[in-house]
Amino acid sequence: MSKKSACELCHKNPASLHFTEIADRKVSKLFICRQCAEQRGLLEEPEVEELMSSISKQEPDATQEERPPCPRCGLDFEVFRQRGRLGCPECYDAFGEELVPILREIHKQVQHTGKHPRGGQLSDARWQRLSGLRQALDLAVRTEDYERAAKLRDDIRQLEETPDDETQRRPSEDGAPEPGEGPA
Amino acid sequence: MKAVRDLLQRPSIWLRLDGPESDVVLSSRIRFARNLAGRPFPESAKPDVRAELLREILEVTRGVEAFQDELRLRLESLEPLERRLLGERQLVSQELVDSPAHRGVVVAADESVSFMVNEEDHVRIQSFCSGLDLQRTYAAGEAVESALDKRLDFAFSDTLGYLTACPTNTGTGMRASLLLHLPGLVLSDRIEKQLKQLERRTVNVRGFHGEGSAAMGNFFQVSNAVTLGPNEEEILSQLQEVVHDLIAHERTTRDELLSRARTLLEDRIWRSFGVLSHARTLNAQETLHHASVLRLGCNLRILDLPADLAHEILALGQDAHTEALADRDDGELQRGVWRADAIRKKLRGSQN
Ligand SMILES: [Zn+2]
Ligand SMILES: [Zn+2]
Repeated sequence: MSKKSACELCHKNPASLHFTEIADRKVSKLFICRQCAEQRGLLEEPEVEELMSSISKQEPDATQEERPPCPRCGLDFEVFRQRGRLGCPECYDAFGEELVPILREIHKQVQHTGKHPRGGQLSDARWQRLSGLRQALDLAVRTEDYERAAKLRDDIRQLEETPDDETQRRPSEDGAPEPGEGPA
Repeated sequence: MKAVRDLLQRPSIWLRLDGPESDVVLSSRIRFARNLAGRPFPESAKPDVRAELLREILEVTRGVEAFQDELRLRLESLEPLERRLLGERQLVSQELVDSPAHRGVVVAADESVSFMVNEEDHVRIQSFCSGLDLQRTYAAGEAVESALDKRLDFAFSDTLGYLTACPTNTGTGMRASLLLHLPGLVLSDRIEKQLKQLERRTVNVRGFHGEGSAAMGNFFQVSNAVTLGPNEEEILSQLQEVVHDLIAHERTTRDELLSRARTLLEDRIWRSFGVLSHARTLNAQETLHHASVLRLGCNLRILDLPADLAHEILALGQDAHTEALADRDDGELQRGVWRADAIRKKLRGSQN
């Protein structure tokens, strides 16, 4: 799609936004101007609007070689550009180089400083025990055996709160090549 | 087992009116987007994988403390009306109302916390409080998030944070949104300018129903624009700052309208009162519009009505709620007649 293509709805204004419209199980792609997008209520979700505009700023480069698809889910980067959704968590690795500028455009920064997962994956043995206890709890609640349910709830809580050997996650190998603050 | 219709015994959280700053802020809502590591996001997953994800997540999340006496629902096993009710109560997104296949929701009996399964992300946790109370809302949502974190392996990167289907949610995965009632700014034509100024302040604004200054019922949703970079606390305090300014502007404008355009203001309010207490048929949109003005009239003590009455009428400005309360589905016109009747009775009952 060339940079100066006209809006597919009004055929007047230059198109600046990509949209994927799904109506009656039919997927159609639209490359349209902002006004038309507004008129059709396509900008209702501001997050999508922002994403779309930041993605369409990354004009495809004819000389650029083909990106291999995500090895895990098979998503093509071109498909992501059109629908604005990634296919799986590993797409972040696979498309790191292209994604980081997009993330920077949206968020201004590309270093997470917020909450980290605490528990994460439990060891298999604990997992099995917890899921057994939860099934028993479910049964106790359904049969209105509240005394037993209360005890099971305590057991579950205790087991959940015992620290796992593996609470510390190994450092991630996720590919953001330029961590740190965004451009000033 | 509770049923969706049982929720109708109480007003939706955004209509409860018992939270802080409720003259301007109807509700505080925070959601966390989370995904399971190593699994395709719902939109990319094949139907059988989505079905398995739903089964697995519903199974593993049984017995989380905040959800006692919960609704644990597969959307496809609900009637369309029940799904629309959940949508109007802001417990599921429009996406789940429209496409229920392989999707679920778990809702605490008081609706304060809930989570959707297989929306855009595998899990979308929501906490919801009346009025402006971001701290309490965050604490409730974070508690659920932590409880689920013990049972599910969330996709996370040390640099990019929580990995979400859409890059606009990457990082904290947290979106906090406040539902504001800004009739003063709309009536005084200052809303456009206010909204323009907000564009520069890392928040998004949109009409709750409808867009921009045409926002239906003068309700606006303000939410954080950025999810990656600042931590949760910083995001919330930025949002809080912006909203405090908006609240202050709205209140000043209401005072100015009272002192400089009282007759015009009273005229607007009494006209809406007139329509609501005499109309023989009302559609959802006009009900929402006039109930919004009625709400302003109560806040400014121009109308001497019980505080929650305007909110009971606002609830009837929603089609699924009206349909469920009327307990019959007999078309747009009949629904409008039933609605007008119900509203007239409410207003007559409140008059001496
Ligand atoms: Zn156009
Ligand atoms: Zn992938």
